[in-house]
Amino acid sequence: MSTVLPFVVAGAVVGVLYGLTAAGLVLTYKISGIFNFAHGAVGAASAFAFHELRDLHGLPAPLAAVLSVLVLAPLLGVALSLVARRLQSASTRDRVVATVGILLVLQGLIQLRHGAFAIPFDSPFPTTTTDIGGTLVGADQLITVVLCIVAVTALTLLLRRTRLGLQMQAITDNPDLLDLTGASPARVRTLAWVLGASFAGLSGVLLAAAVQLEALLLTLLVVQALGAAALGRFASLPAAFGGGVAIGVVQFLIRAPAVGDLLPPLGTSGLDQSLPTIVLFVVLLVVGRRLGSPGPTAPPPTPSTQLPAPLRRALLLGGVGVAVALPLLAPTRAPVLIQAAVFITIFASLHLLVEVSGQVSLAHTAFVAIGATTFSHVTTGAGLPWGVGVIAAVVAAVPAGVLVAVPAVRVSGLFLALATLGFGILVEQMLYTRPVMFGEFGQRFGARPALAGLDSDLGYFLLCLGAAAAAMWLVTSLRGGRLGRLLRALAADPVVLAMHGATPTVTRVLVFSIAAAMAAVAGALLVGVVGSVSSEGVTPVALVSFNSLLWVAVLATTGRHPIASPVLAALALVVAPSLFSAESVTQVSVVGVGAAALLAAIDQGATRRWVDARVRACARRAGRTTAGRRRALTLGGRGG
Amino acid sequence: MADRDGLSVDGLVVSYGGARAVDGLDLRVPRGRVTGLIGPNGAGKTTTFNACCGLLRPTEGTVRIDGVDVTGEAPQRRARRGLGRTFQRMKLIEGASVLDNVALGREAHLAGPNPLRHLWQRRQEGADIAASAADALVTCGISHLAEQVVADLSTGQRRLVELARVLAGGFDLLLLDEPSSGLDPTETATFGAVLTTLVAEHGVGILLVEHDMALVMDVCAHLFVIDFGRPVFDGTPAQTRASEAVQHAYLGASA
Repeated sequence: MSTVLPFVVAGAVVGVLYGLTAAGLVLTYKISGIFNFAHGAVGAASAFAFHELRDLHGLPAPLAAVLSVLVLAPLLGVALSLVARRLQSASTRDRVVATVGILLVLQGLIQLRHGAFAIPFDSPFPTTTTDIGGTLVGADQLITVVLCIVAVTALTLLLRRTRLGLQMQAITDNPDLLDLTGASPARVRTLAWVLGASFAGLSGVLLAAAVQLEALLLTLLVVQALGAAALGRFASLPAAFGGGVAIGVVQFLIRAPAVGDLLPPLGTSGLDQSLPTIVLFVVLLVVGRRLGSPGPTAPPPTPSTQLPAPLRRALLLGGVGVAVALPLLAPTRAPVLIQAAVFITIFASLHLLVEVSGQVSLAHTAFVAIGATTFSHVTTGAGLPWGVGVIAAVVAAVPAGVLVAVPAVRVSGLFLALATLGFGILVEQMLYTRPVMFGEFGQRFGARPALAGLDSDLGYFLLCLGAAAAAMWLVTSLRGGRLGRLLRALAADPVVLAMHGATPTVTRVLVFSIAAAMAAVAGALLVGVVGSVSSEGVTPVALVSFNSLLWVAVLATTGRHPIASPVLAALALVVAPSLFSAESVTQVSVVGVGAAALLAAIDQGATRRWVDARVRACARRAGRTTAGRRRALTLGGRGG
Repeated sequence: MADRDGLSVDGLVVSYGGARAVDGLDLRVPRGRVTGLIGPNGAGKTTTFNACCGLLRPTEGTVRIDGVDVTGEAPQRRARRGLGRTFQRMKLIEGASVLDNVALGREAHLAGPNPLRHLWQRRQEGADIAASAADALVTCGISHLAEQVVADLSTGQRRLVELARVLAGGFDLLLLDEPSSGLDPTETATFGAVLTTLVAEHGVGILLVEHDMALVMDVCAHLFVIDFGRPVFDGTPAQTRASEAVQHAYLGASA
């Protein structure tokens, strides 16, 4: 027993912190309907502010705590509430992208200032230990547990026993009704955000003290807390807190040798880390259908203003010409250009999911990584030809796509985004280091096709560009065909499809499989850029699960056009940072992408509608025909 | 004939927690006539619809289509058996045109459960969809709105779009949930004529939930009256009008 107890204590400490984080997360989600992906980032901001004030500027710890947890975090809460107010009737994509944008901004800023690595951080509490039943327990651990229990109890009582709590409960049911009673829904929501952010701040500082002060770790605390929040069905604070404690304890128990020996050897590595994600996945699968989805899943898409056909053709030809000429003009930049071409395919597949089907996938790095490693195994590993490797990559990725689509069948909108995020992280934690994927050295090798000069930089670039063109053609034709029409109906309301005899599950599984297959082809091509692919990295193109968030954010800023959007996204993600040699370019681009994504999400096409209106006005003045703007789906088009 | 006897519901009970929204309801909806389901607000009419088409699982009772027990079947399977419905709170694709919305009814039917049919349409299907959609638009008298975006239409026009979509789907059993609310008198008249045509010429069976009593009495051959989820009365419109129980539960309040 004495060999297990220390793990229970350590697990309980981390567990109450998961619970505290989850409580704040559930509070804001319940009251605003916005899931705050930046919850952990707010915690990280508070923790680093505390470190900055206490350790770098010599402020006394209590003052630093007040400034970081009770001043900075609430201010971020106010900012979040302003963002949330703009998202009341936004689509799932915009709701996800907005807070992901905030996450990226905070994460980038912290890394700019403090770097990406863990910083020594002393607990603000005394660390003297006492012997409890043969186990040494630190005073700081006790204080953390007590503090968390007190905070969550106080918040629960506030919600259940006070007038403000009643108003907060009421707002989830009917904001208009609350408005009639004289209480302002906006004020109540802001208060909830301030409270939620303060909870995030407190959990950030405490977790930094209990584990370590590291930007990404704290930012992804939100993912760790998701499992707990899911156990509370994203609605109950005490259940979320209890879930957090349970997850923390089990997580550490798995690490205890006495328990670890009982588990099959395959099950242990990575299982402890992945437990919160596994819990999230299971809960979504089991009760997903009952969680429902707040708000509309997709806003009415505004009919797009198309450029006149000759101009479009000229732009397309010019673009292709420039693209083909680029490696000749800048031969030293060939790897970057090839990578950019590969990323066009990745963004085209993401576009298919996010824009065409209205389903947010936060697991795209996993699809790419599965494709890349399978390709490497089949070509470099088994010595089979290049083409077989690409086909194998597709064959391996499609089941992954189906697997992700399984929760998509049962849940919708936001919860699907959470499930995909969970899936991406699960693959990274449980499979990346295994031989089946990157192996313990985290790297796989592969070559370009040894055929007709395709292994030269220019040849390979053209090959990747061809793949990108094929991907964009595929997305465009799917969008304009039956699948596109079914997907638009699916985005509006899956019930409509079912009521007319089409199985919505089939539509969803199809689109995820196709997107995964495209991403896998891109993964295979990615191996040939420099001859290898790695499971780690800090650049925006690395296959770490965090970058799935970044990629979705980039794509959200480049519009809805099936060709322009992936191309621009690839240029922004791959080419733009390569133009700068500063060390901090990655962090700066993360901040930039985050800010742009946030703006795009709260703008919700308002700017574009304004531009469209101006374009229309100009066209009218010029006396142009309006035929070009007519919707593509007409009676005649359908017949062909 | 026994295997083509339309929709039948026996001993339907639907509970939400402790409350019984529908409590022991029997319905017969044969093809070739309009059957009315009437009752005050909150009587359980929409709940009954949801249980019939598979959006919720009844606590007790069975739902049969042409004698086949479909109580446990998914909505899309029931739809493939010929059961279509409209919604009191309409479910239209707001950003798409009227024509696209209506065509979707046929397109989703053709896509069915087959992944390949979700990806591509067969050669002749394009013409099939176009013809079904055009027919449905003409039947509902909204051909002139074909190119308009649904979001720009009035409630009445949107009701007709939803009706046209379900007609384009080619169902022979229809559940229509308050289809005339929001329609102006002309549109209501059109709508009544559409129902009569469907029943007389295509042999469709219709279950109609409706508050417009004039319309109900006009088009329905048989009425089921419910209150608080319980059956109160069933009979012809004339019998219903004469019934004291119905007067008490429903018509009395509005008369």
